[in-house]
Amino acid sequence: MKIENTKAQMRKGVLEYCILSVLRENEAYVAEILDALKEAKLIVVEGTIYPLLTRLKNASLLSYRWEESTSGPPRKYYGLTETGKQFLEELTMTWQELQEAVNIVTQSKTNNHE
Amino acid sequence: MNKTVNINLAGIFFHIDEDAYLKLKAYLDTIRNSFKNGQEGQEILQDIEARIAELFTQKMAHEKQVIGINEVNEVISIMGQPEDYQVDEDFFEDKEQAYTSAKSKKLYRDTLTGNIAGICAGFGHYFDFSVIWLRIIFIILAIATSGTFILIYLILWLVIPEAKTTAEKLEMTGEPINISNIEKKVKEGFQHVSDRMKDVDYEKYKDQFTNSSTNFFRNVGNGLVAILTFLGKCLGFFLVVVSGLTLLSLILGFLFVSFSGIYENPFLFRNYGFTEIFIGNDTIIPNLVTGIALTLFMVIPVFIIFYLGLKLLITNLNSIGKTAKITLLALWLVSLGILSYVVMNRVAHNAYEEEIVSTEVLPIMTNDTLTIKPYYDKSSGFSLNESYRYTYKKGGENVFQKKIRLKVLPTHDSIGKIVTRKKASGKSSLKAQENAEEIDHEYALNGNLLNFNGIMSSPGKGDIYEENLILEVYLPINSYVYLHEDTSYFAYCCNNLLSDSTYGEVIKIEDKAKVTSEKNKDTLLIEIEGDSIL
Repeated sequence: MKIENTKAQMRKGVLEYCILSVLRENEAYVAEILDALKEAKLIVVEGTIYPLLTRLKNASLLSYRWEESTSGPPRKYYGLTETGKQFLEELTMTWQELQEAVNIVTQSKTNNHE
Repeated sequence: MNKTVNINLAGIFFHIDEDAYLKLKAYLDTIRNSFKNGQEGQEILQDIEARIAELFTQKMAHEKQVIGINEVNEVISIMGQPEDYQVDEDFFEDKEQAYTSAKSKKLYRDTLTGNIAGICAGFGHYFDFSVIWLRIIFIILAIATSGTFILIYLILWLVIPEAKTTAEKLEMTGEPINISNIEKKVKEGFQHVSDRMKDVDYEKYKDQFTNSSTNFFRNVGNGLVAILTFLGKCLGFFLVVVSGLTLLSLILGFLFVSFSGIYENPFLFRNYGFTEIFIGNDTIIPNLVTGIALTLFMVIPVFIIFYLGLKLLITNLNSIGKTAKITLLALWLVSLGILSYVVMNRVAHNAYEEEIVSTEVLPIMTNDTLTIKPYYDKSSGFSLNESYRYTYKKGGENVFQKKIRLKVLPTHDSIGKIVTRKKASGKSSLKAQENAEEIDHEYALNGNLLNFNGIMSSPGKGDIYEENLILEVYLPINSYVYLHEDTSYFAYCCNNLLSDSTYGEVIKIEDKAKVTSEKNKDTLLIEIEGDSIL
């Protein structure tokens, strides 16, 4: 098992949650979502996001509308659907639980070592 | 200077350098290929194209700028490698698969380097085998199976997919699919494609600037070239078929001869000319080597013709390589050397010729009648219709049998005589004499009956020493002779009394010189008297 694989797997696991979170307040097109994710250093290359967006859209968690752009091709503005919002709520709860759980486990481990 | 291509990316128009275009295309093809799900993949790809278009638009300082390879590289580094697009749950398995599939090759048809359908080229990649040899094998198979294999080829054509995308091309050659390899591949293909593009453009501009009359002559020229090319191909095809068949028969012949045991005993196929070379071979070169040399001596030139035919037939035929050419030439020269040596040695066997003469008194006087009757050992399988026979005994003595030659001649002596002449050749006078002495022949004289063995026999090497035995029967003038019918089989030409009508009857011996002066030369010199005395 390669460390890179595990890292990528961890990152990709939370990626869907993060994409939905970015879209929680307002609609955004790909570049904006990417900016947010890149800023957080959650993704390094952009390629990763496209299959995810398509999958979320196909799962009816996201919807999009076209908007003309002055500089470039028309943009897809993504937004959460009702299902998406519920999904996000559930994920948020799960994430918080997970975060706590991970914290407890990792801290107890470091304590044990000391 | 760089040629540019116009592309439409997500509805936006771009000028892009040719090499940059090829790289971008390869990149998008690879990504498209990595999405197995068609519908979803299409959509994802559209998004990606749109994003790339956006990135390009941002990078363009002003309208007239052209996208170069640097811009494409930047975009690829932003977008990520094809494997970055993989987000499936079974991520690890996918990785594993990608790893193994990159290692193991897939069988595709290589239409870029292939000639017809790229099947040989594809197999060449798959088995890591030189394409040229595979093509030769395919053609030989096609000829050997009298065309059935062509059907198999057509089936393979249908069954094996063509390597269309860069990823498939990489899979075909067994290289892992990643950007650096794709780039390498694209660069390889670049020359090919750009050459073609140059040609196209050239033609196009030419069309624009040449008037109709020059166009006409160009068309005529093109037509002539096409006809010549076609004729060349026909000639190539003819050469390939003829030389291919020849090659096949030569090789089969060699195998047949090699396994027939002819090298151990060359007498096995004594009646076939080619075995001559193996007989009497007392050089240090074994017969097997001579056989191989003989085969190579014939096969190599035919192979060259075959290859030239192939070259005519297939324009971009790979060279068989310098090493192969030199090896072929060297092999041929060595074969020539071996053959020359063996043949010269063989010819030397007949350098000297000797004759051993023995004479015995035949107690036949004037008015006596001699009966001449041949006999021979029928159990040896010898038939009087053949002139010689080789009896070949594995591990034992070989026997060469040959019909003797009989002459019946008049003599002025008062008593008859029998002269046996044994003739043979050899490498030296002494050898020739020895060989002559080895000839075995007998006859028996019982009163007025001469029984002679019709067959002489000689051991060892057979008639490479040109063994011959002539039995001369001299009879006094005015004696009589009765020749048994079978004697006709041994009649030997010239200056003797034997002719078609002299058998089975008693004939009188007369002085030939006298008769010829009185009668026509062609007239029979023998007077027939009375009935058979037997």
